[in-house]
Amino acid sequence: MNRRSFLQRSSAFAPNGAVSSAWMEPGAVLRHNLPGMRESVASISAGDLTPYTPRPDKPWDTRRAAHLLRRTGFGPTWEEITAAVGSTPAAVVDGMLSGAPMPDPPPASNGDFPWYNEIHLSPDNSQLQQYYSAASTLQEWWTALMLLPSAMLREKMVLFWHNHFVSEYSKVLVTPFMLTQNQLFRQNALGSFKDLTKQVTIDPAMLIYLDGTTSKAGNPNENYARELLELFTIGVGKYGDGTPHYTEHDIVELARALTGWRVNTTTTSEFKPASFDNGNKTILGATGNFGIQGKTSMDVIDLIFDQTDKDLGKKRAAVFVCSKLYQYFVYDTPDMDIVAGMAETMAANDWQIAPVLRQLLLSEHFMDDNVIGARIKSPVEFVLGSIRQLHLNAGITPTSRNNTDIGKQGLHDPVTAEGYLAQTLLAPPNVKGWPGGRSWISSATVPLRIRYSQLWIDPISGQDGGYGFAPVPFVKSLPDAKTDVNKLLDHLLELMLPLAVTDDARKPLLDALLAGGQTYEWDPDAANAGPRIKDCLIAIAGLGEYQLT
Amino acid sequence: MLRRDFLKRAAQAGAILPIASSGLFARPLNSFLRLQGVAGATDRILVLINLAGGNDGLNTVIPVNDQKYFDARPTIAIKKADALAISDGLALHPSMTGVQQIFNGGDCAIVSSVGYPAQDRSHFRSTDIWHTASPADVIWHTGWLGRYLEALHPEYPATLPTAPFAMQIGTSASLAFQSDHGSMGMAIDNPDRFYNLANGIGVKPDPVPATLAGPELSYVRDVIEQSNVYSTKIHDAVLNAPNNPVTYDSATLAQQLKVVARFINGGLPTNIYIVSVAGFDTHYGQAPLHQGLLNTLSRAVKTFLDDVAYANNADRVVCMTYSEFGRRLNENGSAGTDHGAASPLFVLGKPVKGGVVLGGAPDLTDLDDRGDIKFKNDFRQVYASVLQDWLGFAKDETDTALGGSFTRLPLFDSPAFGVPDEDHARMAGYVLDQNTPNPVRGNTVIGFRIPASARVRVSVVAADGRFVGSVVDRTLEAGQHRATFDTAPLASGTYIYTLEAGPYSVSRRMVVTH
Repeated sequence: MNRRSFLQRSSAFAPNGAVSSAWMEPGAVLRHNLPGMRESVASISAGDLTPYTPRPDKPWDTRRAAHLLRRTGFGPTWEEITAAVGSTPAAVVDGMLSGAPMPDPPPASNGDFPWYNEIHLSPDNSQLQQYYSAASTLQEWWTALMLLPSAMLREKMVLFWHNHFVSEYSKVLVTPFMLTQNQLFRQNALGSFKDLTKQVTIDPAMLIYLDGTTSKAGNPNENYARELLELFTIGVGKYGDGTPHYTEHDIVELARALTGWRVNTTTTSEFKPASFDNGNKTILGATGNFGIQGKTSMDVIDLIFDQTDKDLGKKRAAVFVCSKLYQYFVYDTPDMDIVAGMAETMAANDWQIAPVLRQLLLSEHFMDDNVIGARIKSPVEFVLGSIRQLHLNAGITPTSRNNTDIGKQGLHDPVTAEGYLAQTLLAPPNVKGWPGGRSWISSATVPLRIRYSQLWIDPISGQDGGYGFAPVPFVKSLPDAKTDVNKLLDHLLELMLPLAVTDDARKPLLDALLAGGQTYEWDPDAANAGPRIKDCLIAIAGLGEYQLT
Repeated sequence: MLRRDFLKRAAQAGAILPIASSGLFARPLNSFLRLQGVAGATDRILVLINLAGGNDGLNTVIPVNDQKYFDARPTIAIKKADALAISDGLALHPSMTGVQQIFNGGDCAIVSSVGYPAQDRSHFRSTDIWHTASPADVIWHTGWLGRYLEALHPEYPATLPTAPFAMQIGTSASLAFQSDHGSMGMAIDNPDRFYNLANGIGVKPDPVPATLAGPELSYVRDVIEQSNVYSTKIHDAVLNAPNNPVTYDSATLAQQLKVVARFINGGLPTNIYIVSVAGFDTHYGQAPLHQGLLNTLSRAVKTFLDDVAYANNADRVVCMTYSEFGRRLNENGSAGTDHGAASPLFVLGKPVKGGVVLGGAPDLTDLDDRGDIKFKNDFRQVYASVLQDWLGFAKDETDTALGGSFTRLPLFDSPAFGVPDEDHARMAGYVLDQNTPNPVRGNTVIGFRIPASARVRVSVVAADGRFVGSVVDRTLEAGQHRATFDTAPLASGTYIYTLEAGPYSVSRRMVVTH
């Protein structure tokens, strides 16, 4: 196929530019997608929220198990996929949702500075240096937690909340507060969205990030009030009858209700009654002396969560967060029927996330062929997925700090690589977070993604250094590696790509493994097998499919 | 090839214009000039500088004679003595010495109180409004530059250009570039890295599945493809760029503009660039933050304009700042400012008709219901001026791209290519009155005004373009004039009469009934 016909064909879907801001509001996400695409979606039966039942035309097999594990974790290994296939979908999901122990805080930074106990609200230069150092320790610790198999879904939700209740390190600066917030997300990762919202509202990092800590009666700061409604709970927009979800006046009044909270030199904030606006406010149609006058009395948050979505008849905050969960786990354009069902489940379960995810992940909709491979990997998914699936050694663990070997190989450590691909943990671009989806893919990031893959598989030194990729042991960990090169290639493709490739695309991959030889000549222990395996894997990682999950 | 296609399109568009049979000012000549102008448009460059977060316009262009400003901002007002005076009652933030120099040199125009009706105070929604040029209550899916470039390049994406039409310096391309055919621009953050990386890639097209994954896969493949196509051209431009005696700061914005200057000076035929600097959301402890941001902006722009001037590109380059909104007049309790409404923007470069503040000082007595500055100039007026008067886009296509007709502002020394349209004529002082009586049977009077002595022709054509009569054809003094025209010989119907003087022309309709 020549380029012209290729472009004409693909332009039926009119590739969307990497737009700089996604819109999480349900009615508006459509702008990422064009009418032609929407129609093509509607024509494909995609299942609903009824529980998935394995059957011959929709089997619980390697492909579907890998789909579930890719979406709920950071790149499954072959061992994890085969273990899931041998179990049941429900058992696998219930295992993910069962509580895992909370990790110990990260190790102390250089010089034994116990940074998570030392809080300086106005750090001097040397304290700032220590906080910076501690922040990179925090990034590595969190990344190392994501690489562990024990609590993948929880860690994936920590990343979700980090991108929902955004705080940027560059403004908060007090690294212990960022750790406290990160642990707050972890503790509540699968719990009540409403409780988490209450805790985030008085979380020290958030009080600094959106200026709550300087907001006072008589002269309230609107920053948190606006984003609480726009980005955290209700979402900006209008209902079908033309009425807005909330008004500018609601923001003014809500800002008054949120006054009174201050950070201090502990990891909890405190309420200062003198700074609280103790008068009546009219918010979202209700009048009263709303506020957050104690950690248990947050009537203003209750009020926000009581709002009903006029179009769907469900709790508006549930619709809002469920559409974001849908985008995170299923597809960039929310299916509003599915979202409405999720919101109903959330309301029926006291705002708990776990039952919503259980229903979604075990649904006919989620398990449908239609959604497999339909998400673009985030940089974190891309980097950590490559590390996990290729058995690479990233040189980081939650209890130690030793990424220096990787630096010597001319390769970036995982946190730095994620940053080059535009996702630095603790540093989302703004309060709305990373827009995700197609915005991850641009002419600036795609060449770099492919280059990273090449270097991980085949470091410049020409040795198996860097992340320590060992091609021969890697393929020999897969079934049929010694006996059938065609089956081996199938397993490699099942592991690394969410979509099947055509015979035309497959042939050069097989050629790479065989390097001109015949299939019966294949021997993974032959002297030149390593470079051929690397060539094949580099070619796989260069396919567009490798950017999908 | 691209240019020829466009000329062909432009010629077809021109065919709807009435064609007078003869005369110095006849339409064919204008059409010809217009095409010349369009061809020239490909050399002109627009660099947009996004001040993300909502720039505090009142502390940028300061109303130093307005006591209300000082009353509203007891801790963060900029003292008149510190500010850099630029015009009556207005002064720049003290850190903006570079911009002051450009302004005083006549190469910077400030458009004050820019905004739009029903200001949205969400960063994200308002940024989208600026990028799409949509009305505040409507969500559009394509960007203003995307629609412009799509109209200019109907052959895309079936035929790819040799260089990107538009570029964002950063990791993702702006919504402003979005069109119905995908993004008309690309993102690039480091040209050297881009070249090295892009050349290592090969992609074999393969059918995509008929599932939701299909469009995503097509999208990824297209980006990979484009990365390859442009890499050599971009690399060559960077290698060709001369090393001019300028030094950019290490700030991100300065480094982004340095990349843009390398592209321009290296001869890359890309016309539109967007750079972006964040941090303007100064809710808290504003003074030092804002000082740093404006200092970065001012120094970077000055260095950039010097850089392109050294390479003899000053006549081709215009920069424009924009920000999603301004900030509230009253400071908040955190020594900062909350989200506001209208704010000023800067248009800079040698082609700019500078040294002026269009709209003057903001009116602090007439605020909106949130206590924010009301807009005097719609941002789409600025876009219309840039598209037509700088990039030479036709008026009808500009109106289509912006979803309406917006009165342009006199931002440029010479309107695009000496082929002014009616807005130019009006701005220059040429007025053509409606004929009276109208509808008419028999004699009708046509009044018109010219700002200077000129040879003037007023002629009448039928709806099909057929020349039917001359009203005036001689040299007249400046001022108001009247001429009488007898419609008795004409059949009933609609006619168009046109005033032509120098490069300017204005037309109106008259209806003849018998």
